[in-house]
Amino acid sequence: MKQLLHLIFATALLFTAGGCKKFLYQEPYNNISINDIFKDFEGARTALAGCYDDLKSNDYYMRTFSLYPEVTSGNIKYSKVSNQALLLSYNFNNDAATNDMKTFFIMSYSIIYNTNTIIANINSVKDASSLQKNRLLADAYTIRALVHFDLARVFAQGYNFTPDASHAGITIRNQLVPVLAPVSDVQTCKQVFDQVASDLDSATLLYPNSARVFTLGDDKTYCSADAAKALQSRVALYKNDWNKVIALGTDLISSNKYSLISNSNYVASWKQRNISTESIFELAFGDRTGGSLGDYYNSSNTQFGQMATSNDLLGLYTSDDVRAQPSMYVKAIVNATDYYFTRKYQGMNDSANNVKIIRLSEIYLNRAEAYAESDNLTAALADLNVIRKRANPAALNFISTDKATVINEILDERRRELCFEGHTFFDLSRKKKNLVRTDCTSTQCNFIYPNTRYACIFPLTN
Amino acid sequence: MELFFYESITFDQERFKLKFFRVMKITVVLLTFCCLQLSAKTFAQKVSVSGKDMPLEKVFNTIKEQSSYTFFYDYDVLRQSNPVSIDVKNVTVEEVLNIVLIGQPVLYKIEGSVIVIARKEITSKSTEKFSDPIIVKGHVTNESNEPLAGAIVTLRGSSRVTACNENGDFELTLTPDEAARGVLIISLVGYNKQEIRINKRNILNIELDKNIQELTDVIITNSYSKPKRKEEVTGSISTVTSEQLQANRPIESFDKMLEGLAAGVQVEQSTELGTPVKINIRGQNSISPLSSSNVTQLTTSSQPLFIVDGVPVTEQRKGDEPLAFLNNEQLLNPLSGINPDDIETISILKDAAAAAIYGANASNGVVIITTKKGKSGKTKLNVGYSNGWAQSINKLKWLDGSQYHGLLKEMYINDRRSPFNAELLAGANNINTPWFELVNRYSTFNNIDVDLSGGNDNTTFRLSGSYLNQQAIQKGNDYEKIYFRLRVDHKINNRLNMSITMAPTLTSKNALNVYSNVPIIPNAPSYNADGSFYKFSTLGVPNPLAILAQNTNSHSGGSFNGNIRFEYNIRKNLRASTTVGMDALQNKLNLFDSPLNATGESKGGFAQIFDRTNFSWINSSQINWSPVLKKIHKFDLTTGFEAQAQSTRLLKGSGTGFTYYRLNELSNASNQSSASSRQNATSVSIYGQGTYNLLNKYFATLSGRYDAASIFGNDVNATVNAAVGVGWIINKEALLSDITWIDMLRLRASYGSTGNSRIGSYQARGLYGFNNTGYNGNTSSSPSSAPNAALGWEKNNKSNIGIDFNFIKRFNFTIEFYTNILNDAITPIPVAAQNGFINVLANIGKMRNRGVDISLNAQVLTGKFTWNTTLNAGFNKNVILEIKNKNALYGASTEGTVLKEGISTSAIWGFNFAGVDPATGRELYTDKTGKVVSVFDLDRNIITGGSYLGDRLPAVQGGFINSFGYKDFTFSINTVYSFGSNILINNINENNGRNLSNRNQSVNLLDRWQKPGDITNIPLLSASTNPLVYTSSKYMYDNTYIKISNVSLAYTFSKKTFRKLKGTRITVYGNATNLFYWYRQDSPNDRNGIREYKFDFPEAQTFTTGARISI
Repeated sequence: MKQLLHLIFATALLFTAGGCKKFLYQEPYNNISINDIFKDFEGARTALAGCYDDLKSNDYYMRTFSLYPEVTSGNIKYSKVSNQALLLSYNFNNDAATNDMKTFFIMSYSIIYNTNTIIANINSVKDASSLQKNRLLADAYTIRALVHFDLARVFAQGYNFTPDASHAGITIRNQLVPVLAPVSDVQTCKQVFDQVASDLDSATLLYPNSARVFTLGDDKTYCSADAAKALQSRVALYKNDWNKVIALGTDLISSNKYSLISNSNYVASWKQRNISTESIFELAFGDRTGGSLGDYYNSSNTQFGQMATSNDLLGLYTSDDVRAQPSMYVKAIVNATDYYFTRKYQGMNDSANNVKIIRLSEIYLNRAEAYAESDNLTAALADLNVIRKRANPAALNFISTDKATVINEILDERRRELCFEGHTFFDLSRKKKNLVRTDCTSTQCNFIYPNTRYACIFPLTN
Repeated sequence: MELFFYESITFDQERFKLKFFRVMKITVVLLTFCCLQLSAKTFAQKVSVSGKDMPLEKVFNTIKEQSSYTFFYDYDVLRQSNPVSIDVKNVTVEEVLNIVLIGQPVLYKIEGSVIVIARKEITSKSTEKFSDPIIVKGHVTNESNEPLAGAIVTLRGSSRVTACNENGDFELTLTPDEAARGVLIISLVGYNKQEIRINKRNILNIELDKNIQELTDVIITNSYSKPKRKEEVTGSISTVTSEQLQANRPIESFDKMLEGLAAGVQVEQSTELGTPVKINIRGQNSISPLSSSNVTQLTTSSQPLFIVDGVPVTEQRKGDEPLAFLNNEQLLNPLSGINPDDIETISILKDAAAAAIYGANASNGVVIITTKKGKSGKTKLNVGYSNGWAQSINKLKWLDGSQYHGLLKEMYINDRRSPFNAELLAGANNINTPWFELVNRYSTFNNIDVDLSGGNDNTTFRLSGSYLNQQAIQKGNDYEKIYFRLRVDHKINNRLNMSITMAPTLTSKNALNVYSNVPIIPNAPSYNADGSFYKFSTLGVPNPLAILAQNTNSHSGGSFNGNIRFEYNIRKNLRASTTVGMDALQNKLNLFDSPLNATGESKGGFAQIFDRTNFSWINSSQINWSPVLKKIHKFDLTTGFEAQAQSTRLLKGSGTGFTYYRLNELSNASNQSSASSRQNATSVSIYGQGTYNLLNKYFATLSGRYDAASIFGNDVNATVNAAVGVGWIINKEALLSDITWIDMLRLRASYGSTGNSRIGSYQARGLYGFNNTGYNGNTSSSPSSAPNAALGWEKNNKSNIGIDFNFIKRFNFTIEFYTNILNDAITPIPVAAQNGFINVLANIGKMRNRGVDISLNAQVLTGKFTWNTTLNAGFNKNVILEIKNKNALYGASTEGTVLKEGISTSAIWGFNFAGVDPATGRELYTDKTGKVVSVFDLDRNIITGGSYLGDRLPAVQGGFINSFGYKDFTFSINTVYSFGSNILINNINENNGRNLSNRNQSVNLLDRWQKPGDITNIPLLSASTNPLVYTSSKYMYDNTYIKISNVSLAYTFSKKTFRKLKGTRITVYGNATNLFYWYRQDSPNDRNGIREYKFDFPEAQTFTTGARISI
């Protein structure tokens, strides 16, 4: 019996020993808890880097979001008959369950959740200076605004679809909500744009009192005061807030921090990973092996290459335009048919070109449109011709006194200059234009404005 | 006693109580006294006697020492007796006397505690006998040539009886007449009785066949306590012995072999070699995940807990590892590390009384595997070899080249292409490449196993080794396995025993799996004119032949399972033991996509290497006390402490841009990347079990376990599970004790809880996961799992009522009724993406499995022609009782899954197909209101508008196993069946034309709608205008089937052939698997149905022949 007692005692001792608690505490090795990550600056900034990383993910700028306004607007046609990317969008067949934009939708809100977590936990970051904290916050606000804005561009009708923008927008997430919380209806377009503007304003206020948080990478590959300003210019354009577009545009252009790429460097600038002189904000692709946006525009990529340029777009260029083929488009023969592929993102793998989020050419065109809309045609034509003549120094200045003609020319120029950068379809929607696709194999090539299809149907995510 | 009792009935409550207790006290004392008296006769008087050529006097002295008897005899009388050889244990005095006095000139008589030995009256006949006695010697063995000590040998029609000694030898002295015409009856518990004519032979070699019914009398109930007699067990346990397992079958792991062998145990077969198999014990005891596609969606494991010799087998599951591992790594079946030939028994614990001692891991049942150990005596060698081949059965019928061309062209025309254009796009119409035949084959099977065992009284050992080489019928898929196992049991001294097991195995597997992934278009050639592989440049899919030649998908792994155990007998009935065990698995997976074909072309070759190491250890230390109080109260009390830890280490390297395509090591890649992952989980537990046995008639078991585990991160969560079970052997009651044809009639009942802790690590915490790409070289992290602080333990409350009825020694019948209620079931539930995540783990509701298990084991025929049969059936019905917030949860419209109150968790949810509109060629559906609508009007993506179509799990399933013996032949036939389940096939091979341009399609598409008036179920072919209803009932099939899963014929060469090689035994056999299938819903002529669609990977029919030699 004595031995029995000894054994029981020994067993009990083993269990209650202090080591037990330690034994039962196991650190996660692959992940880190939300509370832990914001304990220090080092952790907090990985979360911010995560926002950028996710922006450049396949589900966002590296594929889905960037391709959407191109396949829908008629800028591209497929060089393949199978495995076509965003085919549902091309055919305007997205529905709740099968929806090309579902992954974009999920990724967007995941990024928003990340920014909200950064904003909510900023005060628990111990070892960051207030300047660094301000930058973390400012970037989080800018990214939150950008993502809300992109969501609204895809899933809502244009801001001016109703006079007071009271039509449906998207769900705003400007703070953390419990993950099991039910989602009420979407907010109105106005509320969404107000939220975007308010975030960009917050960011603009914070940037001057902030300090760089990342040690690696070019400044232009992160959000900045100018990026926030440039995005505000774009948001104002979508709201027809012409004065604001002009003011912000003038501000950015006259700052002389950004310069248009010269005609001679134009094509080469898209080939390399170098930071463009006219970029205000671009997403760094860095060293990666996982593919790039260019994969879809590259005929030599047998798996993904398929986004050939439509004749609708090619026909907009004059032959001496640097952006026309053959200088900006590469010809390839697929299935005995000639196709032209843009050189904008021709680099693959390590030489993958950074995706331009916003650049100076757009600011010029935004301001040109704002001038024209506010009846200052001279100023409008001046800005327009800067872009036209950069592309074709030999071209004559475009001259017209008809407001509508000028605006249409500006829109055509936008398409020529900003094609494949995620604008064309949104410009149609914003300008209430009909969709006309002639070089088209879609089941639904044309739409008369207004049409419900100008807003992508929300995907069912569960 | 009665007198006291009646007197005590008064209306004075207080007085009554007082008196009642006094009466009870007296009653107990009296009862105890009675029992003591009784036991003086029945319990205390068993003796053991052994010795060679012992004089009778010595035998009597031995009995005297061990009992309370005294002997009276005349020494002169004893002098005329012969010395005897005897070896008996625990037998009554009468039995000993009966044996030793056979043929002696004396007889005995018991008078109280005195035994009188007196001279026999010698008859004239017996004088004759004794005048010329003949000594017949014999040797009794089992079928593995092991001597059977204690076998009783009786001369038929006489009281002449003897028992075999420890070498299995016996001697009988007979008259010449008896030696000529006498028949010996040899019997032993656990073996079939055998009669043998002496026929004047002086030496007899007798082999007894195991009696399967009786062998299961002793069963292993868990890995903590000693095996128990069946009658003592109150829980629900199914036992499968090595014979029943039929390890000779050409099946690569024992879990697949379990199909149909035990009531209520369903094996969801997989046709691919070496992949994990899902086993459902009494239905599925965890909620199904709503999505199968997202591998990061964890739910609690639905696998039972597997324990090999006390060491849990680490389950291969993906956890919270980075996507690099989740998406591409392929897992091996961890249970394939156990050689089926090494298994002695498998016990399947099904209810709470049996399994509660495993607490938080026992919700899905527990499977205890006990491996074989050596036996003392002559060293034995067994060698087995089998070899065979397999062919594919139930092949999916694909379109041939011209059919395919025709349909594709038609589809393009329907999609408004010009006929010219369509003809161009549809490709060649004069090519027909039989891809299936090109990538499949007749495959081979080879297996050799060797085991050596033996030892002496202090040390026994068993060493076994086995080599398996099995090809799948699909080229590029094969499986090789080398097993070793060593078990040594050693008695260090009288009190201290140790045993040690070590079982390393090596696995090598190739799994290119080319065809089932991409059924290639048939109207393209396989080779170019110059002999190179044809490339499908526009399809972006690889040529499967190129993959076979150029790519790599190979596993090379090893596992090690071992334990060491010490047991110390502190005193009689009290012992302490400790076990340290480990289970380790190491697997390296090499994947290479060659730059020469479409898989790796765009990357210049793509190599990935996954390195997985799982390691777990366990230590349990316990004390067992089994006192017998006052002779009738038998207790068996066990309590112990257990600690275990599991860790998973993963390492991945990948590279692209190979400088030279034939060098595919990562160092030759121009871009290289790597990833690693680690997970640790620890737990500590205290467990206890007490069994109580009253009068060998009433039984009770109480068991429980406290578990604390690290899986919930910071908050160490603990849980307690416990169960109680009771048993009553009814036929031992006086009322039934006279009915001799009833061997056992028993009623059992149990209730208790078990848990399920296997949900992956740290799931309750909100986590940030680190991305391997980073941004601009900066480390980046993103939210990876949503915080849900409210996540708690699942609890499975199980109740079980069972009746066992064994009769006329040949029939064992068991019926059990059970109800398992799972509370706080955990599953990932979809949440609004707007909240940042698409799903979160939550305790969402309550689920019930209710059913009946029936099993019947019978020796229908004994004697010359034997027939044993086993029939079992598991009926189960699953229903979700409650979903929190009353909301049903739906999977995506592609999944057909639902969690909804009132229906099963394995329900198939979708839309009711109502045929194809003869006018338009479009699909029609019956909507919720019962109205038939066009597919265009069906809100097919709002899955809530769907309805219950069927259930993925069967209502009843089981097996019917028969074995027949005649002379040296044995024949067995296994039939398994499953009724009432449905299967939702992948629609990609048979839908409305949308996949026609990418891949070959089922021949069923030939019946498509072509012109108004056509009556068919296949709509007009169109890639872009036909909406696809993923969960249409047209893709659902009735999976009711009966299958002859195995047929085997064996012949054992009779002893005569090997008379010179004493003890050698040779068996040759032939075996065939999957010989016959019957489906309730058979496929239409020349079309595909459930039979063809059921498995993606072709199913095999294997024929093997083999031989086994035992020396």
